[in-house]
Amino acid sequence: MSPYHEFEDLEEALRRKRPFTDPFPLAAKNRLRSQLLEEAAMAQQRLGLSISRAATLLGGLAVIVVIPLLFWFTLSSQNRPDGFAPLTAPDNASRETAPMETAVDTAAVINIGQAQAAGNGMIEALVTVAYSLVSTDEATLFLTYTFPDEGGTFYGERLLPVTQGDAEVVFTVDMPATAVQANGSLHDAVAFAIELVIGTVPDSGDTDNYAVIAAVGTAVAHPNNPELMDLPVQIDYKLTDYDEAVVIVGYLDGADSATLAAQPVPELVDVIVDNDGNVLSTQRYHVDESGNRIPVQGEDEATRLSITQGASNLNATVVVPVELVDEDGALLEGVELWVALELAETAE
Amino acid sequence: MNDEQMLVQRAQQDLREFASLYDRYAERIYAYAQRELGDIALAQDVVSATFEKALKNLPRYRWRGTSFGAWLYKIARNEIMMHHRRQKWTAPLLDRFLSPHNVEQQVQQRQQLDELDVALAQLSRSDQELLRLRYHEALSHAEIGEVLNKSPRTVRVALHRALKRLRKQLAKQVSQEVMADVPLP
Repeated sequence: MSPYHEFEDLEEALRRKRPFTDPFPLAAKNRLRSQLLEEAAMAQQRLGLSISRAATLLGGLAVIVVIPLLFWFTLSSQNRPDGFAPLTAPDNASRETAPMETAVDTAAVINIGQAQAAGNGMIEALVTVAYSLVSTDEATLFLTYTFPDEGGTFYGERLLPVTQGDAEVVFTVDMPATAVQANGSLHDAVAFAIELVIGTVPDSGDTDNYAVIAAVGTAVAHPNNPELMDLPVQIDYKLTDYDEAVVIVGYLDGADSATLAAQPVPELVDVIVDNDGNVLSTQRYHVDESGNRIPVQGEDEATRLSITQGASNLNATVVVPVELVDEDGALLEGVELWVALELAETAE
Repeated sequence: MNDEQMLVQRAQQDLREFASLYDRYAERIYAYAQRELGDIALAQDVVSATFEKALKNLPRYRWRGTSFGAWLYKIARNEIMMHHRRQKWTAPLLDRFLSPHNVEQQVQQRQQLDELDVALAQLSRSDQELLRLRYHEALSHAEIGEVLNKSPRTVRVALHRALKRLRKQLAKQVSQEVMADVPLP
């Protein structure tokens, strides 16, 4: 029985409106099936090979570890008058004879796109990074880039949480317009470094800019729209090496703990600007298990507040659909707030 | 463990078993892509990309208590969204070339539209998508939740609101028609 009994007539009409579709052409369907089966067989074969390699490696390790141990045991036994091995552990040198095989995670910049003007004397370029993460479920890609500019060095960095597997991700990087050559490609002096960081992301040392949600109040009815609620939040921020920035705060329905754990993550915000440097839109993404970039919901309704250099706190209001708030004015389980810092000026 | 869970588990152990999951869902995903895109060739591309991604990521797939189909719908939806995003950039150019046919086509389509179509078109895109996933794709609240990254409870409430808005829109249209039929004094 439908949970929307007062709309049963509408539900029936909607079902009848279901557009007619042609069946999947048999030839195409079978062709795709064969292709998938072929890919599956190859993947399975690779998996089998990996397992047999692992078995070979284990066998090798056994030979390397067990034989010296047995040899050591025999020698030690022979040296003792009672014929038993000593109760002390083998020394470090003996233990180091066993080589430790660790899984290898890799990341590399594989493509740097043409630069586009981003206004304010800055340019943007898309940098494609390929990574292979095998040793752990989750890690963070840490992209840093430098460019010698006006007697100093321009420094930029981007972070992106990634999950286990082989995939390619695209970073949008910005840097001074002087980093672009006449043909639109980046200057040779622009240097990129990519690192796959497991655990805590390293502190760059120079950058100390963040925005975090310090307190969340009780949602109250929106003055103009009964379907919305206003949720007051307090945000602590620190901005040390930028003149000004924009704090963006919004909500995320069906929150992904991995995404939220990485806060503050300005790097997940794609800022789209026009040629005059006006911000047209921002879009925040997270990456799902298939490697797809999923636009985070609530971005359209996100609240944007300008801040200037310094450390302080500010009050903001997040507008949330009424269905995401419980009777006590708190967000429902699975709905989370997020905050990001959009850095507006180049580092000094 | 239901039979679908067993199929998934078998396929995770031996990827060649993925064929049984393909056989189960290929038609549904194809129909979904066709309904969303209105183009057979594009729908085939979406099905192909969806199952390739699913196969590649199958070893990492974790059962979330809904159905394997919901995960496939989610991948397919991402593919469709990516297509729309790409199309956004090419649309003005295509419109320019297709405009003479479009006018005629649009007139024909408009004549075929009924009250419900008109009312549906007035709803937000998210409301329309919710209604399509529920009544065209026949997905459960939990499955829709998995596709849209929302909790089943949120989906249930959001669907109720979408139906309410649809009813309101239909009522508004009817009252407008009545006003239009009243002869001027």
